[in-house]
Amino acid sequence: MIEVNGLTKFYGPTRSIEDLSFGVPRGDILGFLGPNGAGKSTTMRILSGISRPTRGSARIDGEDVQQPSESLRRKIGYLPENSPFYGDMTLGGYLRFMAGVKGFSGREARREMERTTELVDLAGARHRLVRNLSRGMRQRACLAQALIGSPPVLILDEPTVGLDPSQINDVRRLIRSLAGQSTVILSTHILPEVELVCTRVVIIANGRIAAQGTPEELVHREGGGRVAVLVRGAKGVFQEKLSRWPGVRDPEVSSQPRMGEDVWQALLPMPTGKDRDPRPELARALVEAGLDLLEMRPEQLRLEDIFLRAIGK
Amino acid sequence: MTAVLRQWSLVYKRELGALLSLPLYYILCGIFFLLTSLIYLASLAEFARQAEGTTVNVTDSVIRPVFHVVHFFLLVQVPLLTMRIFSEDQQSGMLDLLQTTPMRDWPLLTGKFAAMVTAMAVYIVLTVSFPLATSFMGEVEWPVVAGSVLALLASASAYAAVGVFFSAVTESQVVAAVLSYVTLFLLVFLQVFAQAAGVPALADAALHFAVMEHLEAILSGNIAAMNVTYFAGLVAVFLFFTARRLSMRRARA
Repeated sequence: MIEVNGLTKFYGPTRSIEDLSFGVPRGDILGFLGPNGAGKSTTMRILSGISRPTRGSARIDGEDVQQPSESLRRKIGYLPENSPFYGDMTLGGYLRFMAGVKGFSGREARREMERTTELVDLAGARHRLVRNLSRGMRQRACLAQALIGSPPVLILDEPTVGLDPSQINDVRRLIRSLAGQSTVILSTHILPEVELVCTRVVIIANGRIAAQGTPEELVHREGGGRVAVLVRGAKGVFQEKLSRWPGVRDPEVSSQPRMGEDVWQALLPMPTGKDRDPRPELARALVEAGLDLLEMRPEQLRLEDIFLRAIGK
Repeated sequence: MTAVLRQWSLVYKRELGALLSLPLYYILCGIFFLLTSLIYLASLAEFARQAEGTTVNVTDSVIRPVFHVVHFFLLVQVPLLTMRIFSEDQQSGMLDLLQTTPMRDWPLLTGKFAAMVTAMAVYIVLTVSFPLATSFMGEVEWPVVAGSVLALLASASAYAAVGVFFSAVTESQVVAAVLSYVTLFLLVFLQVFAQAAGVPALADAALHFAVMEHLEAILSGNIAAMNVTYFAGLVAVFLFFTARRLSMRRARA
């Protein structure tokens, strides 16, 4: 649904993004993840047709976003970074205005206004002036504007900024509920957001793609999780037994002084699906060697680890 | 109603609503109306003193000068009201958002422009109260009044188009106002500058492009197609520039 190819944008001599390529299949929710200033908003602005790339192309539903036809613009709902609004209008008036501008007749516009304010939980604020709404409410008002007409593509630039925790949950639930019917690309620097909402992730750092795939793929590609083994007893014996673990030659063992003087921990790579699970065997060997096996637990590699690794921190 | 017409009328209504809710609009209209009233009363008193026993025409000696004053105040007023028309939307990001919708730039800019002209027309119509008041005291030549109102509408429209253009050029309202003033004063006093240059050919050419030349013509009852076309041309040129500027924004942003 969204294809981005070699997208590059310079502001004067300053590079904002370089050679971004990724795709979003129909119905997927893509999390565009990166630290502040990584080039997320630039990419979103190019996708929405406001800004032109220096090089490369972006296509939505097969059509170049640089020359968007009216029908393409009708397919896109855009939530800009700073949620702009007309402060002197009421929320209902503003949404009816935006619906009309998007081509809905008076009655349809009213219906869309009612539907979208329900969706973002602002039905009670329809008669209030937008400028008098709280920041979180304005953010949701602008999200409602993007949802007008149930567009098949939604470009959401940091949709949960300025919301309180319960509103964040509501908005995430709302976005998740769009999966399958709309193709969503949302930018964020909040990791849990991606884990909770997105079906695909693109991590960018310094204007370049650092990693991309489904969250599971990323975790798997980075070596999957690890197994933490904690024992009490002789360090040498522990190390010797560990060397039987597939793929481990010289296991690193660290002391755990907080848990006792002779308590040791080792972190082993999680065996992949096709190998025989070595955990039962190791457990038996450790116990037979007279060590107290205190713990053997999987340690999932989290997206956060991957993110930090990807942006080079 | 077609979609484009509906979009146009939405922009027009929203912009007119915004303009009419601006305190600045009422302050400017109030101050300038008050000043015009004072000038009117003064010239009326002067007329009454001079007119005793003579056949001086009240339209020529009171109404015409008052409409000149109204025109001068429009020149001051319009850039202050147009300066926010696109600058504000550029700064808030609203223009970006509107440019992602299926709406084209033309209904957007002509809607905003028409709203501005309407707001000015309301003020201009108010100034008809001066000849109306005078008509209780003497014979007013209504065709001259109608011509003057037309001249004021035409010039206010041209000034609004200039103001709308500069508002689309910059995010800063102050810069937009300053650029509008410079351009308008150049246009209005073109022949003065051309004459000062001392080249007769230049002065002649300048006459064709100077606002005052065409405005004086309409104000003195000469509503020739040429004079009306001049203002319509100014409007068309500056709205076209605005449209170009709006489409260029996307390339540069």
